Amino acid sequence: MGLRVAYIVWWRELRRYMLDRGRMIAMFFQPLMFLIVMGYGINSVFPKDLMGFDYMKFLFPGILAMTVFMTAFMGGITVIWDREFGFLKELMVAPVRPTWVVVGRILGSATVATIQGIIFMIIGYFLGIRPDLMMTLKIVATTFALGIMVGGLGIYMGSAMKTTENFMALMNMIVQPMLFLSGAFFPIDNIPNWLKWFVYVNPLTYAVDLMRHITASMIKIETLSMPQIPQNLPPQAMQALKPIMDMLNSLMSTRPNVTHFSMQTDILVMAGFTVVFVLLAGWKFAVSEGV
Amino acid sequence: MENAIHVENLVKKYGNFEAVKGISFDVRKGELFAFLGPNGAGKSTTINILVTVLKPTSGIVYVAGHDVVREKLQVRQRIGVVFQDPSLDSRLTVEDNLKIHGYVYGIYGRELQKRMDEVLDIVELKGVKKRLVKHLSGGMRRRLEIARGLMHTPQVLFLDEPTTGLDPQNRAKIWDYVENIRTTGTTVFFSTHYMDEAEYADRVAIMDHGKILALDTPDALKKGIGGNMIVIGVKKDKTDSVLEKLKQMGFTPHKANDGKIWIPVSDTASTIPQLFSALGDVITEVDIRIPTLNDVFLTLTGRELRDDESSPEKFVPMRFRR
Ligand SMILES: Nc1ncnc2c1ncn2[C@@H]1O[C@H](COP(=O)(O)OP(=O)(O)O)[C@@H](O)[C@H]1O
Ligand SMILES: [Mg+2]
Repeated sequence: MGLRVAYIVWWRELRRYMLDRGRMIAMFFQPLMFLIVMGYGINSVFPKDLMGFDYMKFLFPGILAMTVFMTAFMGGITVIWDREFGFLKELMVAPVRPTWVVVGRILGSATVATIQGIIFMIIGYFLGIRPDLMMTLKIVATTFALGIMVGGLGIYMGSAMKTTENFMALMNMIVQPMLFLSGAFFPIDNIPNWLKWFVYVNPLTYAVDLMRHITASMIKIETLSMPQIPQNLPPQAMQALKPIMDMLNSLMSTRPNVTHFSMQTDILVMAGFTVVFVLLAGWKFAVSEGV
Repeated sequence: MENAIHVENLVKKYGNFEAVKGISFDVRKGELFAFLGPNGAGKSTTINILVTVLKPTSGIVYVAGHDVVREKLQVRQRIGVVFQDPSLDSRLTVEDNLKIHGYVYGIYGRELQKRMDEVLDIVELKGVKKRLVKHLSGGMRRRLEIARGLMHTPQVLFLDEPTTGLDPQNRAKIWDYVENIRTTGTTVFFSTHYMDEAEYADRVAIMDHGKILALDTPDALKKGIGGNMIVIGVKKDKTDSVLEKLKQMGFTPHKANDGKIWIPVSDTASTIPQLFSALGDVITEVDIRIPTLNDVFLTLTGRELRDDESSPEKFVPMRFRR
């Protein structure tokens, strides 16, 4: 019985998404703009070889995570809409426990976010970002996991907020900083320590990092290797070349990594955030909407 | 036989404000029961408690044999509800709304299709199954809500002001459907502030300021205020003195909104000559009225029930008239 309720609530979220093409398209505008402008822009300023990666491909997982984040978070606004437009009453008087409604809602948000993610990946394909099949499957799995985490956060916020305006204001307030402090736009290895703290408490950071792990082989430029010094050179020549070699070496070593944490850390932290957000959502939804 | 609804000393407070002040009543199985009262009487508050979406402050409430506080889920399974305010998902289609309701109440598959067609038939909406709810008229939405409330064949159907804001045609239709629904043995509990609509009910509870002032069949209520009403018009400046005089004569007159004086009487024929000899030339007109529920309300509260919304009376189908 409970699962059937979760299913139909999930179905409703999907159905509404399908009937509302406007929302679908509008949600792509910002991420696409970032990807194209920043991607081509930065790539044209900094040579790929020097950075050690193709910035466009580096940026892609970050922007993908952002799309998924925004879509899943927006799922929370349906809680407020239901309250404003009265449908909530239909759910309140139904012989079901709010827990199952929350489960359905979160899975709904996650599914819609994943679909948006997949469409975004298709767009990426045409921009030359072409992960292989295995990578693609892993990315999709990650977007779904991120969707559940953020879906929980969105439902929690939707249950806590009184009006659509408040919710939108909150979204605008947190989305930008979360995005910029997630490592979506730049590697976080070499940023100042005080700034790192913001990055570390940001749930999005770990999703972006995980996606970079998955796509690392696509992002990194493997063609650049240390120039080999021919062994048969006279010692004087070796001596003369040394400073140049040292400089190159140090340049290579300070090249930022595309990932920051280990994959295990990313997964564990995401799981932790997910548990917290889902429980918060379940609790707040039951308190504010249940009787 | 157990009653469909049992309410004992129900109190609901919003902060310090007592919206329902200790009411008690029973609704029998299969009955068409009405709450009649002006806006703010406490009708919706009571209904929301009966349907488990609002907690009572104190009192005992049983619906369909279960306690609305301790056995919410059991009560919810057995009731259908049409709230005063719309509660459809207007971005989905008619069919979608019914499907969601079906699943939530454990109806799916072939049974779902069958029930969907049945309830859409009842409210004559079969033709718009695929239409988005936001593209339906207000009356159609209301009818859809009734259909939805019937999907899981509830024992008790609650309708909170089901016709408010609708045009006369749609109002009449809704009472047609209600009559139809009753033939299946469903108990129907509705609220209204239109006296004409309360006339359809088997029994009416007249409510005002959180209290039930009277509860009986419409006929008994009208008989209770004693025979007919004599309505007299008097010269404007004389109204107060006439009221005074009538009281001295042992009548209980009321001044209506339009300035006319209403006098409940048991024997019309002998009273009229008596009035003329006592008041004589002050009287400008005389009218005899068979009492309505509005008159009952007037007698009970000294106020008129009717507000400035037009009465749906003219459009009521004849077979409902008593
Ligand atoms: N949530 C609420 N908070 C405070 N007062 C309320 C609330 N809901 C209703 N009331 C008050 O309770 C009284 C009864 O309201 P209601 O039950 O809606 O009456 P009706 O349905 O008969 O018009 C009114 O005075 C109304 O203002
Ligand atoms: Mg009301």
